[in-house]
Amino acid sequence: MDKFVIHNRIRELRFQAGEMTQQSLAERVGITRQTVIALEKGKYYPSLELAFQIARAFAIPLDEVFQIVDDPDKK
Amino acid sequence: MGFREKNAWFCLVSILVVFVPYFYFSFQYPIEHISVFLITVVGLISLLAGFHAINAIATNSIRESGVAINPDELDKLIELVAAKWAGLVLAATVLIWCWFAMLSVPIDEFSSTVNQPSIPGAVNELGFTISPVQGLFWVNLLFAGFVVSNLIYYGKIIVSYRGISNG
Repeated sequence: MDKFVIHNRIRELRFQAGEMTQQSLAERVGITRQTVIALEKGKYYPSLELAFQIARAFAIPLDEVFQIVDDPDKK
Repeated sequence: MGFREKNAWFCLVSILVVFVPYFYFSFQYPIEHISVFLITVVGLISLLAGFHAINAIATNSIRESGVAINPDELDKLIELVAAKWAGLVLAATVLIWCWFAMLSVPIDEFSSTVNQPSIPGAVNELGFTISPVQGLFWVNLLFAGFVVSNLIYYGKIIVSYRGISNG
């Protein structure tokens, strides 16, 4: 089975949304700032529910925030 | 550093501050340790209460809203993994302890006593005794395993949060 990684554009989208802070995004979706940091660094993949909440916070579809790509290192 | 990571640090430090002197004392003077145990428990509760109060006051969102921060899904995952590690350490400690306890029972003496022909009115005595010092040593050893598993729990939480922050 091919390995994959999930990339996200949270950091980029925060800056596009008027330089929204990590704390502000965390409060909007009901998580801690540390979880936002973990998501941006790709250290944690969110649950489907949280992924939808983040997309809703930016008012864009889910696949514009998260993209699944093949992991070139683990193919 | 987040609220939960600070809490884990406080718990880890409190346990070390309280239980290192406790075990140092109780392994050296096992008989006198019972009153020390009570002092240790009270000391631990006081330290934890104090640290939690300071942490809550120092955290802006709690100070402003007066409401504790609920763990999110990553916090819960980190706590779950830490609990798994701590559970493994505790289980290993208990199993090893039970194994040593079973090995220390003189089975040969026991079987020879049991196989003796029964005499009406006679009491079947094993002649196997544990001195209070030995008994307290083994109880403290088991308790130490429990404390170590708690240290593993909070240590793993800290390592996980540090991994997120530094990585």
